[in-house]
Amino acid sequence: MWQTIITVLIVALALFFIGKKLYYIVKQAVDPKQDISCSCGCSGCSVSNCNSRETNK
Amino acid sequence: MAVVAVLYQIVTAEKQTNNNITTSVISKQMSDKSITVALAGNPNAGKTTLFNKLTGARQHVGNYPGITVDHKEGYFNHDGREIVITDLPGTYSLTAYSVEEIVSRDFLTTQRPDVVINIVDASNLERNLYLTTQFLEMGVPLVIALNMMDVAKDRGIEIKFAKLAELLGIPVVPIIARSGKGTDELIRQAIRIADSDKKWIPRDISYGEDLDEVLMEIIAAIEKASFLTERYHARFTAIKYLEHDDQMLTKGQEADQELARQLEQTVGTISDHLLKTMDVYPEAIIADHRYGFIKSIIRQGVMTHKFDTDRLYTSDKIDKVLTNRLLGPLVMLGILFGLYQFTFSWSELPVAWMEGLFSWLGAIVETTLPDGMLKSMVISGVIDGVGGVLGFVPLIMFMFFGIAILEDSGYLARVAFMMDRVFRMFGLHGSSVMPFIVSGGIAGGCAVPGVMATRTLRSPKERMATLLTVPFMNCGAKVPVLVLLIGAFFADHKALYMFLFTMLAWLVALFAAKFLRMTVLKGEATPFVMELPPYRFPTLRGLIIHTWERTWQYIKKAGTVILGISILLWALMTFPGLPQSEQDTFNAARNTITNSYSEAVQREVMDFNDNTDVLSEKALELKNRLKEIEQEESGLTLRNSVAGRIGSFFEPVSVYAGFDWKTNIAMLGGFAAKEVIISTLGTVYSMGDIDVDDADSLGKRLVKDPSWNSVVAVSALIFIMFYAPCFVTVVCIAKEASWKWAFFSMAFNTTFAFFASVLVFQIGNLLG
Repeated sequence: MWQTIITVLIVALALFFIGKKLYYIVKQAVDPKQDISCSCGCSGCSVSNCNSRETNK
Repeated sequence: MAVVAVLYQIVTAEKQTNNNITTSVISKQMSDKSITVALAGNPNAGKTTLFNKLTGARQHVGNYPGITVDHKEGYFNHDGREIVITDLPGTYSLTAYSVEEIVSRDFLTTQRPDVVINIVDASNLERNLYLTTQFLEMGVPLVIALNMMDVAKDRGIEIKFAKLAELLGIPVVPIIARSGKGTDELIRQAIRIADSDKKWIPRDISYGEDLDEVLMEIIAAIEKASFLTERYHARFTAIKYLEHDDQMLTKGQEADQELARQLEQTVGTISDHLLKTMDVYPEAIIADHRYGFIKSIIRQGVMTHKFDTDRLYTSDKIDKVLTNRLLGPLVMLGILFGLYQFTFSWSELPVAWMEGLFSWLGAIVETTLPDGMLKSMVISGVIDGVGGVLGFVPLIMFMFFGIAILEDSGYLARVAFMMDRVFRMFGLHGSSVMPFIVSGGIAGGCAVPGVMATRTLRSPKERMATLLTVPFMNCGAKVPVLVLLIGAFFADHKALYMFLFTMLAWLVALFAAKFLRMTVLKGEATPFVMELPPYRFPTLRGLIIHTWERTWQYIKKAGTVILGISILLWALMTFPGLPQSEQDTFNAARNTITNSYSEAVQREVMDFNDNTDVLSEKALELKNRLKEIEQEESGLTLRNSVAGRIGSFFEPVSVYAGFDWKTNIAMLGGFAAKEVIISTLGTVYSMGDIDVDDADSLGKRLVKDPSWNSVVAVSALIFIMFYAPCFVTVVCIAKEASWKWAFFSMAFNTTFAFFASVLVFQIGNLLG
């Protein structure tokens, strides 16, 4: 039973995290001042602008 | 997509309310005693290097022109003063000819920074001063940072910077941005100019009798009507009118239609006159006189050459070979193959260690956690799923290290230069090369910055053709999937296959671009001139930082996004489970088999310890029969799950490409992020019905699965390389173009990928 409860909590947490990520990607898509690359997290993004922006926040 | 549409609406509403807050924040910043500085200069003059040096930001410095499309902002303190610094895109002029020029000019006129630091490449002084003259014409408070003094010295160029400062009437500070030499003095001078609080006073440069006369006439009309004077000085507006600057003409029409018409008429008259008498346009005369102004300064002893000016510099000598029409491409292919060879051979052992680490972790969880849902999630969802992605960290690290050497040395710019010739044949612009390389042209990039990098293209059709084909490149997320399948099915020639699949990605992308340019995106090609930066010795520190930055992004993504998706996919592969009636059937079968053996044999199997015990023949037979039942049950449970049903739904079609329902689940998961293909396969083969040793790596499990073979692997590799871009790339295409093109990209890529896979699978099967 305790395994089921913990599993459900973890799945809910994962769902919340991915949903939030999705929300921010769409949010950045509608904001012309933001770069989507800042949220996509790909290794190639180190060539884009987001690293400097994140460092300076 | 409905979810995306809802999110879009929520975000748009929130954005509206946020606008007011943003305005108040900006107002507060403006009232502070901080100094705003704009960094401007030609591409490759060292702006980004100086920006990083000053702000401490570890933003990557590439060698290809136009890496910065948007302006970047950073903060630092100097002697207790807060400096807000903006890195403007690299431009050669301030005419509204390219996106970068418009961005830079608009920033200067709308934000009006306290001071502009103009980075000038000392080794290319004359060309770089062309932009400087335009800043002077604009009247911005200016400080010149004379960068790359070391390179200039190596080339035998000596610059008397004090004399240059005197003649230009602005401070000139020699610096070496890479080492930080001279930057303290530069900032001191910038603060001094910013504090002097002078008005923007444009420098008068003569453009010859004809133009000067008209210029005076236009300036008078502009000043009288206060035409656009709230943003631009009258002289600047007048020059832009003479240059037929599209943006200025539009702004003029919007401000005062009648006066704009009069000014255009005046300019038209002088243009006709110049065309008749001298066969030139006013903009050409203006450019000539700007260069004349520069030459007149340089000739006053500002610059002297110690060496023969015709002498070939080291970079030029190297380029004679590396960018040679025949030898260059061969060297390029050799370097690419060498990169893969280096990556695979050096990473083989660390990758095996990682596999061992995750097997060990799995074994620990297996023995410590009791059977149940959590144990299944941790082993199948997390360790076999995310572990599969993390297992490739050493390989990714070696690959990024190799790519960092190519980038930091300046060789990647040569690749772009050589590809430019090929690109024109396929109807693409020279500027398209950079987005292709950023997207993974050498392998290991990302389509998102690649799509954004297409902003440098002015022709909308060339831009669209580039934007739609860059996702065909092998991005950093596809690389581990490619490596997994190549490593499993073509283990003896890993580097060769990786090289061939990279070539295939380029070929398909170029032919797809040609197809688009011949059909939906028909149009003329526009010219392109590319600058080659000098070769540089990469520093070990730089290489380590660049390698680590990218590797860390990979690890971070695996530990966050991929982990989250893996857990959700595990849930989709677990629920709703088997109906009670089917579970009862399996339980009954288990009981029947168990009861057909003696109690002693049953007890032997129940008390069996994997590490120490050896089973009798009968007990082993019982154990294997029970295992068969268990695997059949778990296979059926997976097939009955939500993900299993979706995978099975596509199976009647996907079977033509050789994909069974399990592979379909992975391919669908790959839309979220391509690495998810690995984690999903890891979970599927961990939960499914494949009869393999538990400690086997995913690659070995795939090889042992009868539904996989080398033909299916090639078919899958082709599908993975070319099908719909990941979700973030699709959103990015929608942002950069429109949702229509984003959906087109998904449909076009998936249709092409599927038919290509079917072709490969069917022909492969026919050939045996």
